[in-house]
Amino acid sequence: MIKHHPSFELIQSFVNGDLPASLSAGIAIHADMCPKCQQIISQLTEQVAENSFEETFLDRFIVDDMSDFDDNNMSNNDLKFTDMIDNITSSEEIAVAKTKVEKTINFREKTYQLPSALHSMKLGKTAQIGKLSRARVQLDEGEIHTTLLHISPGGGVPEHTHKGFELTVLLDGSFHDEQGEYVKGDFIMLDSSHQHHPISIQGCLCYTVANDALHFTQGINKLLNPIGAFIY
Amino acid sequence: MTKAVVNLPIFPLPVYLLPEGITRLRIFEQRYLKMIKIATKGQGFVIFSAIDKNIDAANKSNLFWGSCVEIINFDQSKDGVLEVDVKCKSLVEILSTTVDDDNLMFGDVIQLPHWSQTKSPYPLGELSTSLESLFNNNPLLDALYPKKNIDNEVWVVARWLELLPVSSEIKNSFVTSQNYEAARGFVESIFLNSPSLAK
Amino acid sequence: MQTNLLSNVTSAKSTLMTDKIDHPQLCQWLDDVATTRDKKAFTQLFQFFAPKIQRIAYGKFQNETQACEVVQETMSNVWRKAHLFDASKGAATTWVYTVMRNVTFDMLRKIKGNREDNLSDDIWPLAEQSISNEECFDDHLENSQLLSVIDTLPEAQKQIVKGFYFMEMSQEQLATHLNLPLGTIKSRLRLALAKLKVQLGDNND
Repeated sequence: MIKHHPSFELIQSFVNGDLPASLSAGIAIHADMCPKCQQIISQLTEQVAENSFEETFLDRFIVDDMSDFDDNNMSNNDLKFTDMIDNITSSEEIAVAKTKVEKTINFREKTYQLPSALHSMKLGKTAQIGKLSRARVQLDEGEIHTTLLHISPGGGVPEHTHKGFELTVLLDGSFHDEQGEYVKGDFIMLDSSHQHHPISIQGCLCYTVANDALHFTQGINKLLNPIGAFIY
Repeated sequence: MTKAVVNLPIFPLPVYLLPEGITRLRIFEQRYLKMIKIATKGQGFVIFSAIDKNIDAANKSNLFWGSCVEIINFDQSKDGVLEVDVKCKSLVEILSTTVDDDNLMFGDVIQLPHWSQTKSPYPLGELSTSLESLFNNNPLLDALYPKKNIDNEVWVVARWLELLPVSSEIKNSFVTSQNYEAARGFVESIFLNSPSLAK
Repeated sequence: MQTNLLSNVTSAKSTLMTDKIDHPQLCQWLDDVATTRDKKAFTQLFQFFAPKIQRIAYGKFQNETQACEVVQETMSNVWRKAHLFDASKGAATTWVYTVMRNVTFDMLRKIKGNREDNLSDDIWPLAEQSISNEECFDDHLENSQLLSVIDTLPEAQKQIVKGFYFMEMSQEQLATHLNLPLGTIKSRLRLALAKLKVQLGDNND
């Protein structure tokens, strides 16, 4: 059973469209597997939408610079809007509903279904070190790196902490660390106060988002710091 | 029309039939042949459409209803099966049921008034003409209805509800909600060609 | 700033729907756009949503041209995608909000990093072919146990029996009768159901 969920604040920013694509996709992937969060998201979306299109609510947004924008440009605006309506309705085009297609990705001869939130994202080539394989999700978000990380049975990630945050959404399989066992669908958000050493006995596939290279804390692994850059 | 409880045989069949609706049944099972015999002597029988999965829907609305029908015609089909034309007299609420030795179900039922029993002197434009042409193009359907009340909008809406390919769950809602406006709006919105109809 | 404002209001509210917005009317207009490409209905929708979208977008972009672009893009999606709106799945405001949020999200990505990848519809799907509704209108007679009896009949008879034995037309028969493509029949049935749900409220769910 899924035990780890995104915080309410995170869901709220997700609904508002304020999160980067990497984290938005992480929440969407989790919600696809988690009816509970799915429900929170749809209720919140309904509320936010209702509020957004309610006159009295919008009035609160009107601060001084906005009223200027309203008064002086109103007639101008009306004209622009009439043009826009004509322009839009002159198009005969109808958007066709996307039919659900399935996309898959292979790691070590195993085929996994790609979450639909990632369907339009570009994936880099798969690289491997030992029991770890990864494919970068090319989102171009500066410091934030997004990765599909595959751990073969018996593999693990050396003990590390994070300078920033590290999000792991478990797409398939399971792993455990000092805090416990994680299963498919779990949404695990860690920050710099967490130190962990995940091991996967059966193997797993994760969607990870981290905003800084990992910091390895365990003996000889300090020497292997490049592995941090490899994974995240 | 008294509001008395009567005991009638029950025929479970997923057919949606409102008052004045007519359908042809093929009867081949022994227990239902017996049901026909009883029905011809008494007050007809009840078609109960909320069988198997639909029973949940009926449960939700807390109303088990059926169509009380009278037999208006018999025949034997070419393959030797008894064919019976039945017409719905009224809807009934099924209060309790029993099963006899032949596995035939009986129920204590009471009349359930329904909007389709009201009369209206108005035709329904496109809906009426479209229904009329449907009858004309389908001899089997046409033959079932010796008299067609095309000029009665309530009758037209009721027939369309029976005929439209929508799930029994939705059709059921037009009995449990007793909302004629909603029923008419539903049928109209499938036919809407002119905006005036859509209102 | 905006986020805080929104969260304060949302947490203070106890009911999902206020009566300040005429939801059935909005649904009706969207239906009219979807089924008859009704320009009047679209103009009504535009007058309701566009000024609000413009203000919200201005809050995000702090730029009038970009705010207008969001209005143009959102409303043009409403025109092109109205048939994907499903009133049984949520309010018209929720649907338009999703369209607007997705347009804004993709535009922000474009402005920030010149990335034209349009990821939003994958993250927040507007409408997938809905399975639940489709089921309602599937030829549900197929599932009926009685069909096992019908299946033993000769082919020619089966045709008649399947059509009118249950006093019910198939979607194909309805399409032929109304001289319309099957797809149109299916979408009309879906729209009719959506309207019905609005009319009857939640009591009949």
